Formats: sequence, structure tokens, C-alpha cells
Amino acid sequence: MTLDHLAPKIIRRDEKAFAELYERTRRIVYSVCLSILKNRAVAEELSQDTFVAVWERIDEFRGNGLKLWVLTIAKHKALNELRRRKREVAVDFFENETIGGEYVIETQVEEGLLLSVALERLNEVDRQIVLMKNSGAKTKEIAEFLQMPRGTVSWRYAEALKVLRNYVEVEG
Amino acid sequence: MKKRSIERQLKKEIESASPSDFSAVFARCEKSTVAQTEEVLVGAGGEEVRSPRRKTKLTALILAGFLFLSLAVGFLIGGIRGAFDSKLKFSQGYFLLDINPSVEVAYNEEGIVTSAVGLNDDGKALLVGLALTDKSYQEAADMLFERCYAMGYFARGREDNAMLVTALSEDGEKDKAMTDAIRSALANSFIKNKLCGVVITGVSDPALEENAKNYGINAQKYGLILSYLALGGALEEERYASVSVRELYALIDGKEQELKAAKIAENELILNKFERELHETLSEQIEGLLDTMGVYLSDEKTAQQEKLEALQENAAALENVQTQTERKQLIDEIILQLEGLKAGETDAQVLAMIDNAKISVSVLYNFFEKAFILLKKESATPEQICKIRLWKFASYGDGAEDVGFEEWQALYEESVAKRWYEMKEAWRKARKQDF
Repeated sequence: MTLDHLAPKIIRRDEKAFAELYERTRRIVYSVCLSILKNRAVAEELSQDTFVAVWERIDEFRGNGLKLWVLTIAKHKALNELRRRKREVAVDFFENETIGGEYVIETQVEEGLLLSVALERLNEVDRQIVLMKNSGAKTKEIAEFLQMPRGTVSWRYAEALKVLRNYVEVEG
Repeated sequence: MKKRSIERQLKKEIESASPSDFSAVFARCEKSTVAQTEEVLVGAGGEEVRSPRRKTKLTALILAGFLFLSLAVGFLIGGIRGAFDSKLKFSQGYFLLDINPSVEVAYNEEGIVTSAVGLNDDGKALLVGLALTDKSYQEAADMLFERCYAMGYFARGREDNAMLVTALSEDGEKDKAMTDAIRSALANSFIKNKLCGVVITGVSDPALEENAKNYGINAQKYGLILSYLALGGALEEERYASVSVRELYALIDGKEQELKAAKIAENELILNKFERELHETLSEQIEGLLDTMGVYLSDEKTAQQEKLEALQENAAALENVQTQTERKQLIDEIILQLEGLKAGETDAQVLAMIDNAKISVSVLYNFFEKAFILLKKESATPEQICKIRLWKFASYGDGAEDVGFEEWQALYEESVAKRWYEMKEAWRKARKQDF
């Protein structure tokens, strides 16, 4: 079911409608941020930022596809954050040569074995597909978001799950 | 780890990790709104509020072991009176065949069966669809034997195939002529079916006989009392002599029902878990089929991909169905949707693949449906039990060993007969293994 009907209500500052949008998209928004940044704490913060941005910029939403619009905001925020962090690492590198020059993506392994494995073992696109799919996104939505054919999304999802399964079975 | 388990675990982990504090978000939104207003008025900004991470506590459900309760005591009580054979005469009464099911078969003086009633669930199941009335005792014994065999109470390669035969006249005295006649008929059935089998015609354990004598009852009845006590029943010794055989069977049956009810309640959670797992497996199997098929459907055909997605949703929904009707509806819909996929394809191989998928879904459904029925055995009707057992055992075993019944009988009868109630315990165990 589309969420577009919530947009006019949110424009009128309807908290209930915004809460519904939040509840129905928070997992996918978090997944998008996490799959790009691979850092849970930052992904969590950016998820909040995304919803604040949605609240602030809802007037700009036109037409249909509210969920996709929200996810796009999340994606842009995550990519901006990634770029910002890369710049910071680069600055650190020039200031202190003992620090490695590569931007090291932090992966937290303390909880959520499969999530950690997904973050570690899958490439960015497969990561996004797996995380979004298991956050409740439909294949069609993922395909639109990633701008790839649905069949490809399905196939990549199945392959990515095989990778996870193999890893879990071998590493146990 | 199954695909479904991985997905479930991932969902759980994402749910646990993703922020869910809407109030914190909304507080920031409100501040932002105020700040925007103030910016317009005085140019001030707002402080950010960060939400604490939501900690989801997961409760693990630990399920203990699962036991199938099997009904053990069984018997066939039949009555045949009169001359089924011109040379033999019977007193009116009933004979008792103790296999596992409990069935009372009444007979008239002519040796013709006048009624057959299942006294417990297994007995009722045994009689489903069996028209014994108006049959001769021989025909009835044959039919009962065949049904027992078909329902898995006897099997080739097993050495505990056994039946206890006791014929009693109405006054409770043994009817030896009838006992021998039934024994002979059943013994032939064992031989005919090449089964190791024993037909026990009496209790020959001297100790049992002696104990029985002390109570003023026959050993057969004493054996029944012991069976009842073995099930946890209580019966004062003073009543041993006065309690009737029929009453004993009723007591045993009541005790079994009681135990069964307790076991059903105890197993409810575990049954639910099994059912859920079956649903998950069914759903996963069909999704696997669809995944494979999805690779061959063209990406360019948007309509096809949409249909496939709808199919995948239905396959996933199978995991959460609650009733057989829902399950059937979803499967029907999936098969219809698969048929619908054919409309968008021209490649003969893809079309054949879709047809194969339809067949596979049907086969899977039928297989799982049987498993669901089996799972529900504890609360099944006699008709369902009959169906389950026939489904499971109708192959009549696969051994081809030619067994000399008489020899086997000579070797084992006495030892088995000594403690026929113990043998019934062995039957209980054997039946547990059956399922």
C-alpha cells in the first residue's frame, strides 16, 4: 500500500500521519544508511536526520512515491556523510602520517552476527538489497530505488543470501 | 541454516538495531519548526536531540521434547455363535483379539458377526469403512487382519507381530472352540502374508495363572488388570473378582483418554512449533522454485516481474497461515498465478518450466498436507487416524522373507504369551517409532 496519502497530512503538520510514515519506513531508512555507511551509530543518527529533513521539506514533495522520496533523502544524507568522513580521514592523513591513508569503514560486530556478516561480506549494492528487503521493502521498491530491473534485484538477493548462508555454515 | 532462518534472523537484527523512538524524532522536528519560525523572527537555531538506541529484548521460547502418545491396549471382541462350520458349535459370547486397537465384535450363534464397535480411538480407526456385520467369523478375522496389516500393526521384518485371541462366552467362561478357530484363521493370515507372527491364545505364565487364581479370576482378566495398573490406574484388590472384563476395558480406555488429553495439552506448544516449521518449509520450498524461475523470466517484461512478485508474496504468506482452508486457498492462488505467468511467455522451455513448477507446487502441497494431518494425529478423528495409518503403512512393508509361521510360533509363543501385557508395552514403543 502506498504511503502517498500521508503527504498532505504531514504538510498540515499532522503528527499521527508523520508517526505512521516513521513507523513504516524507519527500518528501511536505517538499512539504507547502514548499507552505505556500515556504521550503526552513524546510521542511527542519519535516520533521525532523514526524518527531520522529511518534516522540514515535505512541502517539496511532489507527485507520488513518498517512500522512495524518503529513501532518496536518506541515501543522499548517507552519501554526504560518507564523503565528509573520507575528507576527514584525508585531512588526518596529511596531519599525522602514522595514520593509514585509506578510509577505513567501521564495522561493529558486537551484536547482530548476520547483520555484521552482511556488512562485511557483501558489496554495497547487495548489501542494500539484502538490508532493504529484510526491512520490509518490496523488490519493486528496491528496483526503483537502485534503478535496476526487478529480476536482477531478485537474483542478486538470492545470491547474496547464499553468500551469507555459506559464511554462517562454514564459520558457524 | 535455511534461507528462511537467515531472513528471519536478519529481520530480527534490523528491527533490534534500527531506531524506533518517534518521540525523539518528533521533538527534533518540533524544535526545527520552532527554530525555523524563530529564524524568521530572530534568526535563532535549535539544539539537536539524539534518540537513545532502542533495545529490543527478545524472548526465546524453549520447547522441550515431544512425545507422541500412542494408544496401546487393543482388542477385538467378537461373538460368533452357532455353526460357522457344521462341525463346530459355539456358545453365544464374544472373542477377544488383542492387537492394539480395541474393538468389540459381537457374534450370534451361527458364528455371524452382529456388530463391531471400536472401544478406543485406534479401535474406531481400525473399523472405519470395514463392514463386518453379517460376515462369518473367518471373513471378519481376515478383514481385520488385512486392515491391521495395512495400518501398520504388523510388518515384515518385525518379530513382535502378535495378536491375542480370547473367546469368552457371555457368562465370562473361555470358549475354547472359538478361540482355536479364530487362532487358526489368523495364523493362516500370518502365513499367507509371510509375516513373523504369533497368535496368543491364552496366558500360559504359571506365575500369572497362580496370581490370578489367588484373586479368584482367570489369567486373562488378571492381565487386563495389570495393563490398567500399568497405565497408572487404581483398582482395589477386592474388586479384582467383581469387576467385569468389559468394565476393565472401559477403565483402560478411560485411562488412555485421560493420558491422551494430558499429553495433548502438554504437546500443544510443540505441535504449534512443528506446524509453524512445516509452514515455513513449505513456503521456502515454493519460494525456491520461484527464485529459480525468476532468473528465466525476462527483466524487460515488467508485467511478468510483477506477477512473479505477487507470487513470491503469496509464497511468503504461506508461512503465516493459520488454517488448512487458508493454506489451500493460497496454494490454489499460487497455481493460478503460475498459469497466468504462461500468458507472458513464448519460449517453450520457459513454458515447460512453469508447468513443472505448477506440478511441483501441487506435489509439495499434497506432501505437506499429509504431514499436517500426521501432526494433528493426537486430536485426529478415527477417520483421520485410519487415513494416516493407511497412507503411512499401505505399502505393507518391503521385506520378502519367507517365514515359517509354525516354527516361529513354536519358538516365541510361549515366551510372548507369558507376559502379554508386557508385550503390549513393546507395542506402545513400536508404535511410537512408527510415528
